[in-house]
Amino acid sequence: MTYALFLGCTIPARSRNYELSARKVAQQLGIELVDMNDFVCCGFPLKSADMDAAERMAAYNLSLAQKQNLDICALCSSCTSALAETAHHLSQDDGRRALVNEQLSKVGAVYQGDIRVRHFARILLEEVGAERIRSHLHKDLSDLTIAVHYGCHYLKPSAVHNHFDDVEDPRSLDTLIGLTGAKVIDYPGRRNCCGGPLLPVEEALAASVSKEKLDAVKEAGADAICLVCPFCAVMYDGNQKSIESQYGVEYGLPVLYLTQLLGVAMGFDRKELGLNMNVVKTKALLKRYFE
Amino acid sequence: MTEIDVNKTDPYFARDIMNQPGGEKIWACFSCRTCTASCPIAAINHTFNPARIIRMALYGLKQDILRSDFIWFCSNCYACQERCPQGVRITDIMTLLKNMAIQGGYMPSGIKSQMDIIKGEGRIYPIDDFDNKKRAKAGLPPLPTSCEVVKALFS
Amino acid sequence: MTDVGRHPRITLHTLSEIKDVNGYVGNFDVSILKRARYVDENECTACGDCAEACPVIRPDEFNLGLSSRRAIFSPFPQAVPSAYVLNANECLGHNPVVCGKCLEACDKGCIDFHMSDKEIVEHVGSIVVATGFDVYDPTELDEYAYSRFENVLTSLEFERLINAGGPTGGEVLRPTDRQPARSIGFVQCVGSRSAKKGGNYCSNICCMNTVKSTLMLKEHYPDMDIKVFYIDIRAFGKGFEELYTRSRRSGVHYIRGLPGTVEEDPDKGLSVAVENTATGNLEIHHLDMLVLALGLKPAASTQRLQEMLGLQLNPDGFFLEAHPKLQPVDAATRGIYYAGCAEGPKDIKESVTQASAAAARAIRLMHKGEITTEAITSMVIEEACKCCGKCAEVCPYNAVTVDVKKKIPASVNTAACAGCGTCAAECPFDAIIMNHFTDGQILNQVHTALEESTQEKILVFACNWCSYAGADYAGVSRLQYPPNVRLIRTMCSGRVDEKFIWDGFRAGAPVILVSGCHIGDCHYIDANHWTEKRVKKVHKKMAKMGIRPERLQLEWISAAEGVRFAEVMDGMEKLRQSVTPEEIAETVQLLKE
Repeated sequence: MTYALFLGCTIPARSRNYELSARKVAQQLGIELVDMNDFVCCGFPLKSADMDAAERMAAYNLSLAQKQNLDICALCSSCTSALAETAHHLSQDDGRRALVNEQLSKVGAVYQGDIRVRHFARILLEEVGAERIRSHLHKDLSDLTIAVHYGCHYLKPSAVHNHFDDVEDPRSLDTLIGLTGAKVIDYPGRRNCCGGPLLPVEEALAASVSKEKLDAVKEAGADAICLVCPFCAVMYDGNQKSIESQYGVEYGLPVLYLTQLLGVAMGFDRKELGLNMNVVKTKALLKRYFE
Repeated sequence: MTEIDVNKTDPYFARDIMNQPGGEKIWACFSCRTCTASCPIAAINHTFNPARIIRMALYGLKQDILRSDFIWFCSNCYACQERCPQGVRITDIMTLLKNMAIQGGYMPSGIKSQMDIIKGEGRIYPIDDFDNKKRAKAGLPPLPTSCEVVKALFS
Repeated sequence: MTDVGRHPRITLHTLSEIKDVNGYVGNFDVSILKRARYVDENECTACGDCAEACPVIRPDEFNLGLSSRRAIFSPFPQAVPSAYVLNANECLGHNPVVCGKCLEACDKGCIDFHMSDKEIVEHVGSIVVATGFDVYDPTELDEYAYSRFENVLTSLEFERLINAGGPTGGEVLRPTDRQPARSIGFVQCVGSRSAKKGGNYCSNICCMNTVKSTLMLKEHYPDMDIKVFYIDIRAFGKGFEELYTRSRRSGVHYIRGLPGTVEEDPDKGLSVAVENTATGNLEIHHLDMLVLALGLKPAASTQRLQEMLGLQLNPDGFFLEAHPKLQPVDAATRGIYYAGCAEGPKDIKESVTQASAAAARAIRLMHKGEITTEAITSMVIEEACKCCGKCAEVCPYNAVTVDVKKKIPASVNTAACAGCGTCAAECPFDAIIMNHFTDGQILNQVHTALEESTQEKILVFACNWCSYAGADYAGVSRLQYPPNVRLIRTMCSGRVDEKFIWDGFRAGAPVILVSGCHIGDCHYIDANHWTEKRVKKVHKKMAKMGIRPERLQLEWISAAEGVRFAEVMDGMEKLRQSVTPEEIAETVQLLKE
C-alpha cells in the first residue's frame, strides 16, 4: 500500500498538526507515503482566475506521480478534488490531454492519464478497511461527542470522486470516527460549506457562513468538530476566535483532524499528533486520554 | 424593478459559455430554482442567487454579470451542481464567469494577489528556511524553498 | 376487473409469468409459468377465516408496509379472482405438524399445500402488452431525505394514508407520532424531468394526482395548510384546469420552485428551503409532512419482455410504438399491441382509450380467421440455398428458419416477414428474392441512372420510410438541392446489397450515398444496424483496393429532415466534384479486373 503523498501548500506551512498526525496514522496502519518534493500548488485557488493555468498545475502534479508510478493520496480535500477533477477530465478527453501535454513539455513532463487521486480518509476506508483500523485502536473515546464536518471537496463533484459516498447523506467519516467509540451526532446543515473559498473575496461573508455551522454544532451539543481539510480548519479553528469576537458569542469548540482523533485512539501522545498546534485548545477535552 | 435594455444585452453570451468546458448545458435550465434553494451562500446573502445568474447569462446580460461583485460570492461548494435536475454544471459555470470577468479586466484584489503568488512562487504559501526549521523541530522532512518549474510552466 | 374475471371467453392467469413467446401473428405460442396459489380459486369464497388463523405477520405490500397482513391473504379487497393466496416462502410450513392452522380453519377445504407451479402454453393470435409501470425510488434523490426522515412520504404512501380503506381509515396521521398532520407539502417532479436522476421525461400524471390529493385533503381538513412545490403545473387534459382552479380556490398554496434542502425539526416536522420564484425570496417552510410526487418508470419486466417478443424500446425504456402518430397502439411486430403505461406514462382515461384501441386493432386483424400478408416479402430459391444461416441471423422478425446442421434450406414465413430485404442483401449466394425489390429491378435502376453523363451523377439509395420521405419533404418545402441526384428507393436501407454499390462504381458512379432511418428509428426494428455493418465492410474493401472510401457515404435522414436532406445532397455534390474522370476510370478498371 504505497502512495505518492500530495501535501499541498497549506498543510506543510500552516497545518503541520494535520501532517504530523496523518503520517503517524499512516505509519501505524502500514500505508507507505512517498513524498512528492517537487509538487506545485494543486491549482484549486487559481481556478476562478485562470482555469487553464489551474489545470496545467494539476496535470504537472499528476505527471510527477506518474514518474513515481504511484497513485496519489492527498490530505487536503480541495487538493484532492482539483487533482481528481483534472485526472477525470484528462482521462476522458484525449484532445484536452494533448493540449495540456503541449504545455507540460516545456518543463519536460508528460501525463499519460491513469493516475488515481484519493483523499487519505477515503483510502483508509477503501484500502485499509474498518476491521484493520479497529485492530490498531487501543483507547476507547466513547466519552466524546463529535460533530463531523465533511466539507465540500472531499465528496464533490461526486462524478470525479466516483460517487464513493452519498453527497446528500455522507457517512464515510462517521464510520471512521465511530471506530474510536466516539459518538457522532447529526446537526442541521451538516453538508454545508465552511465558506473558506470566500476569504480572499469577502471575509465577512466567509465568517458568517462559518458561524452558521458553529452555531448549529454548539446547539447540537458536540464536544468538538472533526474534519479532513486544512481549508475548513482555517475557518473553524483558526478563525473561531475572530468570529467569536465579531459576533459576541463564545464557542470554545475544539477542532480536530480525523487523523488526530484516530491517533489519540491509537495511543500516540499529544505532541506526536501536533495537538499543541491546534488553535482552539484541546487539552481539557482530551486530558483523560493522556493520563 | 430591473429594466432589461435589449440593446445592451449580448445575444452571443450564452453561446460563448456553451462553447467552453463546463458550460455546455446552460441552455437546459428550466428555472426550477433547486440551485438557489440549495445554496449555503444564498441563504445568508441575498445578492447571490445562482438561478438568477444563470437566467441573466441566458438573457445575455454579460456586463451586469462580469462587472458584478456577486459572482465572486460563489464558494465553489457544488451543492447546486450536484442537485441540478437538468445537469447544468452551475458551479463550473460560475468558475467560467469568473474567468471571463478576469479576461475582461475585473478582478477582486484578493484573487489577484493569490494568482500572482501562485504563478510566481508555485505555491500559495511558499516554504522558507524558517518553515523548514519549524518542520524539523516537529520531526517533519524539509521541503524545497524555491519552485523554478512554475516559471517555465507559465512562460 | 370483476367483469373480466367473470367473462366466459376471457381466461385470466394470475400469479403467472411469461416464460417465452414463439411464433408470429395469428400463431403465437406463449409459455406461462403459473405459480401455485395453494388455494382453490374456484372454491374459495374469501371468507377470511384462514387469515384469521394464520400466525405469520408480514408487511402489507398493497399498503406499502403501513399495515400488516398474514402469510395467507387477499392482496386487496377488490382483488380478482376473489380468492385468498398463500405465500409459501412466508408460511410456517407445508408440514401440517408445524402449523397448518389455516387448513383447519377452512371449512370448505380449499387450501392445498401440495399444489405446485404449472407450466402451460397458450396458443393465441395476437398479444396486447399491458404490463404497466413502476414508480421511481426516491432514496437516490436524497436531498429530499426520504430515506432519513419518517415524515417524508411518497405519493403512493400518501394515497394509502388518505384512502378510507387504508391503514389509518383515511386519517392523515404523521408516521412519527400518529398525530394528525396540520400542514403538508408536496414536491413535484420527483424522478421526472431530470437529466440525472430518474427519467428526463414528464411523468404525465403526477401534477393532477397532487391536485386531486390537495382537494381530498381540503375536503376532509379545510384548515390544513397545504403547499405544492412545482416547476410547471401541467393541467392540459379535459377538465384538468378546472380542478387546478378549484384547488387554488380552496386555499392550497402553489409555490413555484423546487426545494433544495430538507431538514428535520426537533418536533420531527420538516424545514423545507425553497426559492419562491414569484417573490424571488428564499423561503423556509415548516411542514408536518412532506409528500414526494413520484415519477413513473418502465416496469422492471420490460426489458425481458422486449427480448422475448422482439419489440423495441424508447430511449427512456418504455415500449416503442410502430408510429408515434399513425400507429400509436401497434408494435412494429405484427399482431402485438400496447395498452397503458407500458408504452409511456399516461393517466386512467388515456390508458382506457389506448386499451380499447388495442382491443379493436386486435379484433380487426383476427376476426376473419385469416390475414392478408404483405406482397413485399422475401422468397428463398431452395436449390441455391447453402443453408449458411446468415438470413436467419439478420432477420429482425425471426421470419426465416433454416437448419444449418441438418442442411435444411431456409424458408420464409410470409406472415412474419415485413419486407425489409436485409436477408436478400446479406445472402452470399443470391438465393433470396426480395419481391418487388429484386436484384434485377434495382440493378436496372442503377444502370439506367448512370447511363448518360455518368460522372455528373450522384447515386443515392434511400429507404422508403425516412430518407425517401425526407426527400419528399425537401421537395414540398421547395428546398433546392442538386438536380443530378438519382434516387433509388428501397423499403429499408438494409436492402442495399453490396453488389448494388460495386455495380454502381463499376458503371462509373463518382459517388454513392446509402441513406436510412436514424439508428433506433428503423421501421424494421434494427435492420439498419446491418446497413451500417455492411457499409463499414465495403469501406474497408475500398481502402484495400485503393479506392477512396469517402466516395461511399452513409447518412441517416429522417422523414422530417427535409433541410438535412438538401444539405446532405449539397455535401454529396461537393464530394462528387472532387472526383476526377481519371479517378473514375481507374476505379472502373480496378473493378473490372
